[in-house]
Amino acid sequence: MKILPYLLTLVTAFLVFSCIDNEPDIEELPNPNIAFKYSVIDPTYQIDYYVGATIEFVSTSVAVGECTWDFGDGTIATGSTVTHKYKTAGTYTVKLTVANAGYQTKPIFISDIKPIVSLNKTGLIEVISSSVGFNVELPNPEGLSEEYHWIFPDGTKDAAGTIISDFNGKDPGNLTFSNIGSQTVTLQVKLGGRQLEDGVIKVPVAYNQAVPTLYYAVKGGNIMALKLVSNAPAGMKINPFDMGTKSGQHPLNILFSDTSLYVIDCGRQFTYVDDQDGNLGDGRIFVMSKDGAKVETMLTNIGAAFNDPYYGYIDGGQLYFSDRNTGISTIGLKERNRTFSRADFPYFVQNATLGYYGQGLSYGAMNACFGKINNVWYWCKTYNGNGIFRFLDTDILKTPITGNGVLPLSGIALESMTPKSLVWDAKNKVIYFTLYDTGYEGLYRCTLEQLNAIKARADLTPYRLKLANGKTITPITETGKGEGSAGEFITICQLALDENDGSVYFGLRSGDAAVKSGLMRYNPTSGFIEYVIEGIDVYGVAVNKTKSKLF
Amino acid sequence: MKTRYNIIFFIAAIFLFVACNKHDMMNDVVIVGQMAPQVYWEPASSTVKAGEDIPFTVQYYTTSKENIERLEIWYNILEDESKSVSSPWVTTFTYSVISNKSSEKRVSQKIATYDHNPNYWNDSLRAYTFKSTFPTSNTLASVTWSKPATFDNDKMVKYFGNAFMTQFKDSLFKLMKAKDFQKMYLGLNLLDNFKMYIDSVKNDNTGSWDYVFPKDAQGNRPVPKTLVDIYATIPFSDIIFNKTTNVYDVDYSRSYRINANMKAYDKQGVAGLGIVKEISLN
Repeated sequence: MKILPYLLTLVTAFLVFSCIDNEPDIEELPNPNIAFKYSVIDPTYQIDYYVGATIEFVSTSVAVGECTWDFGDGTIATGSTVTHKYKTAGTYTVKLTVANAGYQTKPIFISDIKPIVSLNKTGLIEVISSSVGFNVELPNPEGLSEEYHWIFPDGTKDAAGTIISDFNGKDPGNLTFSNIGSQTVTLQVKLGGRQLEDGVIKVPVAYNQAVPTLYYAVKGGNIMALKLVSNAPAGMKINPFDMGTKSGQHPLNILFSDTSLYVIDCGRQFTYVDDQDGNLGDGRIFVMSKDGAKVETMLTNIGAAFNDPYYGYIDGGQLYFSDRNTGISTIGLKERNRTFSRADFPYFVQNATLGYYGQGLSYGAMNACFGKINNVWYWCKTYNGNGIFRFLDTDILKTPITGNGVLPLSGIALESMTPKSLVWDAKNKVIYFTLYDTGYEGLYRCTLEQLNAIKARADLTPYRLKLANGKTITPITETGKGEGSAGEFITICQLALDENDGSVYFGLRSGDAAVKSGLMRYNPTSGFIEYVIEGIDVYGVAVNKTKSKLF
Repeated sequence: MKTRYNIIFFIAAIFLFVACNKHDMMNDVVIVGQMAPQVYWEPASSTVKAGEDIPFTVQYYTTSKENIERLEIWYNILEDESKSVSSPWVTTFTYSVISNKSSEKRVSQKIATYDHNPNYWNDSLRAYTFKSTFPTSNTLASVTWSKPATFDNDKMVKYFGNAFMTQFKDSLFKLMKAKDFQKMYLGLNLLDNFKMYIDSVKNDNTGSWDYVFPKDAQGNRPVPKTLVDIYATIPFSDIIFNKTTNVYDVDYSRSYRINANMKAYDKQGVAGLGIVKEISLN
């Protein structure tokens, strides 16, 4: 028996050392003591990194040893300072190896030569009457042959007034445009017989009369602007302007005030998320000048995802912004580059500082659009207490309650329904609102008295607005097909009123195969909902009522 | 005695602080180094047109004895690329290939240098301040090719790669059901009569009739050879053509961002850094 411990030790030793893979390969990682920098040494196009540019690579390594460079295009060089020219555009990984020390890698992006097109004049370019030409810059250090082919948008006319769709040659001369909006002119160039990337310029063609401007945020695209022209001559197309500013992740509301557009983007995560560490927030409010030339950050949230800004309203020099499901805070319109914290942006109102709490309004009641009508706040809620909860500033309690509060006299409208967005037409004294209750989805229009009288869904019928073909509009509320789930659906996330003619604009994510998604409006003159632009997914919409030819 | 103990304790404490070169207690609680210039800067806009100069305002000062010599703008380049292709012909499922990626394309580079000038001093700010601009490259303009009305094979290869079209077509074929073939072939006017290639079987779950391909000798329901042969002749562009909207269901976009920072150097070469600003180019 005394031999047993020795046997056990022997077996254990065999077990420990028997595996042939007991020494896995050690991955060689980049050495932090090896570093390098690179720069274009040709003075003319120093920041462009064109194909053929001479690039200098300099080792700045602490480690000492022979330097070997792998430029990622199959070529190698040695020395602490070397130069290299790339023959083809693309992204390469440059690797510097220092003998007996290790290596380091860095990406380098080589751009292809492309024609740079610019306008030969500044100032307003009016539809039909203004003529404009183009400057072309084409880097051609090797003096290769150049072939130019221009492609023009519909309605382009040459100096003789003849419609022109394309042109071969470097200078097409001065042109005029028959349509409004961003007119995309494309220049295709062959350099030494090789087709380059297209040169593109979007000519901003203004209307010849001052009209309001509609802004809208396209899903996955840019903020766009559209002149609200009601009396365009026959044949003139009203195309949108691409403002060149990304819409953001989920810009549920955009708001226009004075000369700026305020974009409220609730960030990547707008649905429920278990943000245990409170660091998934990435929402922000940014401010775009009305012509798109300047974009500034107003507020950034890097804390809890639920604190991202979702919906907004501007009143008295303040932007009121709601979080996901608790309350509304404020920020001055002139504020810039602020970082959100609850201490800096305390709630102006929250679920629990209204007498409705525990009496219709529950914990985490999901926020939707809100605004002020005749000094009364209208706050849409779509989950855990549905309806439009109305209150005065004086109804807001100083401290949160758990229930049994005094109910605000303004009362709840559309109680237990799912009002997502609303807008007040003060001139015509009607409220527009959207719902996504199954079977009652769509856009509604009624007076405040009629709104107060709606007690059940069946009461909604007379106020439901339709397309000219008699169909109503149905936003997507099918989980997996649209965005979000119960209480969160994007549906029609904002309504915008053109005070000049009473039209109400909105983006529809249609759940009805017979009705396409798009930018739509209710036209009070015709009494019908109609398309403005078909086939696009839109989040927030806003109107600059100040009339202008361009912006 | 008391004084002697105090002196011994004091000397011991000094030894403790300076003796150990492995655990430097002073270094653990403070950052030891040279005083760097302080920089605060703000670009005028977080979005600019590629090729245009970006205006900025900078304030800087130093508390060290060394005068500031120069300021530099540095930025790297990041690319956001988005690709999406779908076939509108299939009805039994949604077939889209979507890819989004962001990557650093160029490491941080010195872009511009600004000499320090004592005249930049502003008494009310208690700092030097000036306004200037720094350049961006035209080559960083965003590129969009979205739902074109005419198909461009060269662009498709350039943006999606050589093998993409074949892979897309092959993958789609493996997923298509009889109903999808029917919609595609009739929609593209490739066949006048599709019914000769299909059987209908009662779906016990729904109570309706499903269209399927006939069984072969092994009891499988392969795609009939004629249909396979026809599929091979269909150009990729037709596969993604949306007959309802008369456009091709392909989207490609590429845009660039820069992470820019301002560095202020004193005459000893010690640099103070501002806060990194992300600027989108369009």
